[in-house]
Amino acid sequence: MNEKRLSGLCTLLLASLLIVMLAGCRREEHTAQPQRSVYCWQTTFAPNDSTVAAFIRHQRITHIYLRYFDVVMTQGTPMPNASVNVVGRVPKGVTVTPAVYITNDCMKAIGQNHTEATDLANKILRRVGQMTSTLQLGPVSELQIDCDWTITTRRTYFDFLSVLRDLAHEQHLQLSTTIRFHQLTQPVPPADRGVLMAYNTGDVRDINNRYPILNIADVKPYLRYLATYKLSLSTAYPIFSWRVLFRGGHFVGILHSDDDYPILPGDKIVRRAADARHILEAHQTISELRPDAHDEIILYDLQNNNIKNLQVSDYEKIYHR
Amino acid sequence: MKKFIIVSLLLMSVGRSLACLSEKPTYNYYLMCVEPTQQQTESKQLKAINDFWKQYTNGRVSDYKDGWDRKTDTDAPIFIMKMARQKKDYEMVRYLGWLNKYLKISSDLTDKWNYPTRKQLLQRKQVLTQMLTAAKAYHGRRLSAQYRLLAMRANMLLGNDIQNIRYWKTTANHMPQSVYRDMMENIYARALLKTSKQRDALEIYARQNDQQSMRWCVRHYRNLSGIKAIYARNVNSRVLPYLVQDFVNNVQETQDVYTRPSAFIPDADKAQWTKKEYTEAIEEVGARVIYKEEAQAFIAFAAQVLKEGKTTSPALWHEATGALQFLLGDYSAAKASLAQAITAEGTQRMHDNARAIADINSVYTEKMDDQQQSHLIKEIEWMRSMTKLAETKDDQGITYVADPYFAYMLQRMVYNHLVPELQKQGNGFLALSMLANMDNHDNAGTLPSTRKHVPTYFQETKSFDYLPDWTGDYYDALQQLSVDSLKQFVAYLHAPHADSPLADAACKSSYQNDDYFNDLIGTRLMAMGRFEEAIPYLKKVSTSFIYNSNICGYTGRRNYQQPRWFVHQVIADTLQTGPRSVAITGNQKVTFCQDITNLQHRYQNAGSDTLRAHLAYDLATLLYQASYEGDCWYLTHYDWSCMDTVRTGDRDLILDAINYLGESSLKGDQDLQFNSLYALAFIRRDNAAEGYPFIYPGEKVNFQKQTRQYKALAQLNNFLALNPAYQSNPYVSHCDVLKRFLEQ
Repeated sequence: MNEKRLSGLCTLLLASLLIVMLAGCRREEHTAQPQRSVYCWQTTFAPNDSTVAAFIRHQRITHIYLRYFDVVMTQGTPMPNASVNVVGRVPKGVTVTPAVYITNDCMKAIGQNHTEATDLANKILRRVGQMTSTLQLGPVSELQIDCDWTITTRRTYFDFLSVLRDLAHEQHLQLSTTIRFHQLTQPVPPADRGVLMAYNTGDVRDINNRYPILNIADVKPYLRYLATYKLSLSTAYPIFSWRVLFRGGHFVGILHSDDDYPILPGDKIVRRAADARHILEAHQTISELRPDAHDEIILYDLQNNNIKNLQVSDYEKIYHR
Repeated sequence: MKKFIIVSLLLMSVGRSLACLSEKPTYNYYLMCVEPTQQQTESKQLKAINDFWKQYTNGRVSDYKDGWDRKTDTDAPIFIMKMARQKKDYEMVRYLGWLNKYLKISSDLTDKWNYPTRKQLLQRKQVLTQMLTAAKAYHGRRLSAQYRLLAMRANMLLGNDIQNIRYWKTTANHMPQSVYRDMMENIYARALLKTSKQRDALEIYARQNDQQSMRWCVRHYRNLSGIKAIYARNVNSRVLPYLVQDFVNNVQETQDVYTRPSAFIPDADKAQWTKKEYTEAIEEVGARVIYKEEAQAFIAFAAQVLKEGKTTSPALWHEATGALQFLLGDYSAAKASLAQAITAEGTQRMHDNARAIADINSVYTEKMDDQQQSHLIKEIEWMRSMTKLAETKDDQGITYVADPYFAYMLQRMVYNHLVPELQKQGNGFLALSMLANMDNHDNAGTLPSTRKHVPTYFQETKSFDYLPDWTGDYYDALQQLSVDSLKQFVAYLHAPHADSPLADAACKSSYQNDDYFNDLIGTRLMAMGRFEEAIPYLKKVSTSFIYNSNICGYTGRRNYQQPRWFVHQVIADTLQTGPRSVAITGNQKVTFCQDITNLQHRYQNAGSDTLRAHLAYDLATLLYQASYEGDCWYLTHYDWSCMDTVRTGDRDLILDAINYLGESSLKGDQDLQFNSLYALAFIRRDNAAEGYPFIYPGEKVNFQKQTRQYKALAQLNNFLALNPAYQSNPYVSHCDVLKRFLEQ
């Protein structure tokens, strides 16, 4: 056996071993129960609120994605807005991942300006660090960016993410980003992993669409991209509901409070919610297509009103692989 | 000729040259303004606070937050604190300490990229808590309003909204009326809003005219449904005037953007716009899209409101109906509605609004007879007097109009309705005299002009401002007239008009400076190439008029005898071009006309080809200098742009120069031939460079062979090949265009 053949055999053996190990890991991941996570997207986060605290405890939540702040265009420049106010301490054993929502307008404004993209990435990372320290939410190991980017802003957003990922890695932080169903058809963003947002799948403006929040049938055209989507994914399922105002069969708006919109005689207020049946249907579809997307399951979002939308038994099923 | 292909977008003077920037005002101001603007309300509040500090510091400081003491160049907060200490006014010293702390914290609280540390947050909370205790503990009388406001402010920053509601009800509400009480009530409204009592908060915002907060609260109510809902809740809600006004103005905004998008976005191509793009353009200025159908539905709803008779402000609903009918082109219905609005119950402001809109509407409903003309004179005077009432002075003592609504309505009426209508009726001179009248009033046609053709001197820059005599709608309209019409109009301006009260009043209060019009006529004749005819007019223009004119610096520093192709007379400092920037002894336009007339006579009577060729070259030199490509463009125009072309009615002086140079290049001696060929190659007309004038230094030049200039460059090149002695001529050796031509 010459030296070259020996070396080739060793490589083959090593490769086989690696494949066996990886396959083993993968199988193990898919049998283990998902990590239980929630999103907190309000401007005030009160982990000690009795309902919230009980939910975290009973559902054995170990991970909270907390929206730290938004970035919006203010007088022509991207600025932080609606920073979260944390009242109380996060329970022991629960880790926090900071999330930052950036409006697509910011991406439009940055355009192809790499310097501005870099500047924004630096500012966000620094502020996230300061907030984590001040609000005593650490240690954190990940940063999540949410942006409803479109084809026209994709290049800017990816450029921005790429810079931010490099900067985050320097601070030993992973970078994740939200993925909407329609974005599955687009190139994969430069992030370490993504969260598939399994909500807002239908047209809320259509009075005949009874399940605009989640109906997996509405996103069927995008599902064929899911299995081969080259980004590690978690999945977020909705637990929220909307009160939608229609006038003469036409959409007027989503009522966040009673006086949010003018309500006239003859108007129709319709409740739209993600019911357990549709969530579990989506759950099963995603599970079949992309089992690793259930390594972590996230609920959107943790609010007193939302918690009551589903039964305890429903949560058990959703948080189950 | 060195670097003659250089893009110069430098605009040499204001006026026409700005046309490319689409800066002309549309005068399409909103019709309804029944509430004072928030700025006016805020400035009233601010004035009350500032007056307090002004009084305390004996006039040394006029604003607490942003003011300073000029004498010691000290910021107001520091200066006032120092003064309080000197006065041994320890009560004030203590209050100032808290006030400064509050201002610092509220400034720190705004979302910024830097987030505070935990220590800073704790300190902030501690200070606010102490502030609250101190405010509640104050039992003096003198600063009780300030301390109570401080208590509510501290509560607000601590997020104690429930406490603030209680504090208002038990304490602050019982305070006597003052600016501090208003501010406390505003904080109370905020607390109501934060605790889901939006309706109550909204009424307070409306009463206080806090439009920013109100706009947020009713962001989904800015339509007919919103108006109906609020009306159903309370027929006399304080929010209704705001919403109704907003509705009418939104109808206008929608109409404006749909009918004239180019007025808002210069490159807008209406045909390519989608509905979404129209909506975005409308919402970009803070307006909402309201289509015709909804406007008509509003009119029906307003009729129902009036029929019910529950409103205490029928004037508002009549006015809104009238304004919408006007916008929808139903002028006779608008006339009736607005007449009712003027007499119906409502605020004086509503009546005045309705009156102004009725005046505009009358342009379309009334025959332009003596009665209507007299009516318009009266109404124009009324709008001017209302504007005069709104005059006020800022901190620097500069007069400004705090409420420009009536000025806007006057401008809208004259520029957008009366003048076009008079023109349509064939009454062009009356239309022009209305423009003349507006032009002779400052603040865009509302206040009598103080200008006497004397530019203002600025000590800092040691310069005079440019006079506005050659800009604006009136000047633009004068420029559209033929020279004969211009002469007739000048006569019209000076004539009595017994048959037309409006013409009589307009002409009498217009700018009638003879120098101005003689210069205008003379200059126009020069631009038409009628130089001899221009002389009598220009001779009447005084030297002092030219000295005070915007072109003074040019006339005193440039020489039209210099061939432009050999010398570019640069005036590096623009301050040296304007009024009074150089001493002058006469009118250069006159000498130019005399010189060129003389040359023309000599050329016509020249006895030999050689002399004729020399005279042709001299004529070309002068004509080219006076053209828009020459250094002495100011002889024929009042403004210049690198994008200029031959203007309508003007003689093509460049073409004349080219023709003369063609002659001199063939019939003259060798020197004259060289000069002429060089000049022909220099002249920019029918430029050889592709993309001219948008070629930047260093950029590759693509020559176009079919152009006049290319052929001229080829002719010059042939001449140089045949006469090598000229190749060392410095103009040739330094000419980069010729070099590039040879390199291609």
